[in-house]
Amino acid sequence: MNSDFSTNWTTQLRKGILELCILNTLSRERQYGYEIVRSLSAIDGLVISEGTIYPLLNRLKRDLLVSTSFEESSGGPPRKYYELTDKGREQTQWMNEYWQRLLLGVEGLRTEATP
Amino acid sequence: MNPLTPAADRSLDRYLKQLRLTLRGTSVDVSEIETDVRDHIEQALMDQAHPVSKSDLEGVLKELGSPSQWVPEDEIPYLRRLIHRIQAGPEDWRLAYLCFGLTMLGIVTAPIGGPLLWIPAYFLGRAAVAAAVERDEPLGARRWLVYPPIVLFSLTLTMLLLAGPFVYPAVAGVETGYLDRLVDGALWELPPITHAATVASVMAIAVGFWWLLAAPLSIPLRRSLAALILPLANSYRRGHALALMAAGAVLVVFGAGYLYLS
Repeated sequence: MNSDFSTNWTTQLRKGILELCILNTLSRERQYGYEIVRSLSAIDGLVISEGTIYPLLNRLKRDLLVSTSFEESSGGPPRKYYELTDKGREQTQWMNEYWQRLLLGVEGLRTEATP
Repeated sequence: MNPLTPAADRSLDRYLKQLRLTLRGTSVDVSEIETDVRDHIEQALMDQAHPVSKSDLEGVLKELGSPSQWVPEDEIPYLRRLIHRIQAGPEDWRLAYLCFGLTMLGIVTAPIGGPLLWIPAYFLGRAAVAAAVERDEPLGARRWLVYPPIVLFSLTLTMLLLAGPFVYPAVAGVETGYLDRLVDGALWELPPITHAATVASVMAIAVGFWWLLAAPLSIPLRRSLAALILPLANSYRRGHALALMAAGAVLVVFGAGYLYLS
């Protein structure tokens, strides 16, 4: 197996999927940054550098797909919570549908290719 | 923020400084990300003993990863990407960038002896080529950084070797009037075209003699020449040396013939 190729391939694949995963994580409930990172890190092979999540959250906020709010926490400073905006919900739904179509297509190819 | 030991505090400062430097100029809000990262570290270290030690902190920073991995490379401004490649890139890329940088600096500072920088640039270029050969990989895009200095240096050296040591006294002879005195002041009294032809004949004799002398010497030295003048002398053979001798002889005959007849 070509390790350079594998590294490039997984990096490219993760890039797009991470945004989808962040949006889906927030579609269940609002979460603060550390919580989002912990949820996504639990998925094997998805997060290599935990810090990658923060620039992505920042871009999603800039694109008005998520919003932030501060709330006092019991054991420390106020926490910054991220939550989906209405636009973010629509975008997540569209991305999930697109992902589903893609998944079905790729799965079909894989099934045909398997002897 | 949880209290940190002085060593951990310095380590955190370095990390956040790197974060600010890396993300500056990209499309993200650097101060907001710095706040997020501080919060993340705080949360991750909440259950650690206080003050937080450097090793505990570095465990968290390692999980966060280097900020240079957080944004796509094409978002980082070109100059910073270049500096980052030189600082952290594979050694052979660093060699290529340094080699090209020295060559450009040599051109910019040409009036104050900049071309001397082409000598180290040439050796760096050769080192980059050797590194690629050792790894059995093609130079790829690096050839655009490495070949110009090598060819520039090789061409200059080839020109100097072909001109040879005899040309410079000949030029000096014309410049200082020494040659003129040799021919009883007749040189400057000649019409301009004849004067130029006479000077050219003197040069031709000087170069011709040099080629006649140097060509036989170059045959046993051809491996050294090929190593030094890459890639121009790669295919230098005995036949080329004989051709050089013949050309030298022709120059001497023509030069001397013209002077004799005029």
